[in-house]
Amino acid sequence: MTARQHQQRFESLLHEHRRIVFKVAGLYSRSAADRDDLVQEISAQLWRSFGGYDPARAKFSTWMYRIALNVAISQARRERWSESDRFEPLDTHHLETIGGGEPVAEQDKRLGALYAFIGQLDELNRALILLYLEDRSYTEMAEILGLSETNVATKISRIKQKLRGQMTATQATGA
Amino acid sequence: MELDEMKQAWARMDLRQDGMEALLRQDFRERRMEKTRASMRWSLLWQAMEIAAWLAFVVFAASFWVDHRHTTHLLVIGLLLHAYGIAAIWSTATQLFLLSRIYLFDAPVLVLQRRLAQLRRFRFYSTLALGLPWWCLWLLATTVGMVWLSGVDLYAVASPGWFWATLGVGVLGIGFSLRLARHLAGRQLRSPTLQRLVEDMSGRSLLRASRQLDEIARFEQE
Repeated sequence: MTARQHQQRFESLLHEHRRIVFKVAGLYSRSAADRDDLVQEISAQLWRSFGGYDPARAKFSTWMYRIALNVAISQARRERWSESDRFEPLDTHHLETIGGGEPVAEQDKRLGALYAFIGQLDELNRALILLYLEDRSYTEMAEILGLSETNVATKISRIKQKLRGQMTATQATGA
Repeated sequence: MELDEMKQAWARMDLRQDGMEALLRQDFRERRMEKTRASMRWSLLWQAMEIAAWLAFVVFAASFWVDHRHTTHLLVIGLLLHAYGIAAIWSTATQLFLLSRIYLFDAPVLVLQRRLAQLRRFRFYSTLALGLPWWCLWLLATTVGMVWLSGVDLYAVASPGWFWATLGVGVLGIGFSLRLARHLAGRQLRSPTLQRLVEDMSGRSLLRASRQLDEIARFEQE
């Protein structure tokens, strides 16, 4: 395969799975500018690693999720450390970035609640919830994260419980 | 609301991708991607050159102490530099190995994040163990250089008292560097290299690496 064909193949696969890059970048950035930087950072790393991609070992989407999440988590940690040594959770404003700057509440109230919930999670749990929302199988989530399937199932179940508890508390406060 | 309902909301979400798609195309149009690969190749070449330079240093130090094995202080200085060179080769090779494990970034998330933390921890120890001794090593290297170039033995010419006093100042310098690093830690410095150096010397990078490893372990066990 010539260098040109190699690049064309990569561009075509990237285009086909571009939503993965956008969703990961949106979930780990605090502003539209951050998100654009992260999109570029992820796509550069994907291109750098593409020579080592082996379709026999993993699906392209699995490989892409791993790289995108690794880049995003590393970047988020670097930023967290450069500002303070404390974890700063995302808030609704930060998560507007995923929708292109449109206020979340106007798009969907459920989505707003979802953002608020994800905003409380740390980087690793955020990766887990993203994969769950993207309807990935437990097997693929385990492959992407490096956990066992049982562990993934347990974690998802705990997140559901936590969410349920939070919703009940919110309803009780609202009532 | 249940998580499954949120999943439905998420699926309905219409991402505005126009700007982001343009970004992806722009990268190839401006050949930024090719530059990224080229810079990575240069970085690997630089590390290989570093190992080659340290190998030459070790060979030189070995030949020096063999030639001067009958003069105790020159034998000791030569052996110290020899040992330092071996430590530098080991450190560079280990860093190269640790970098090669994360180079592609395509390992499972927990595996790669753990490897990144291990690399950070190793860099911390390496910076401290190989950087700070230069407060004293410069004198040893100068002594060897002078003997090799002109045959003048600085230890004998300048008197042992002066030599030991200069080494003592070096030890004070190490303490001063550590204090200064602690003082500067947490400040935003202009040079990224200096920033990393300060973070390593103040122990902050080790603290972060340890914290990262703890977070991963907690996530796995929860």
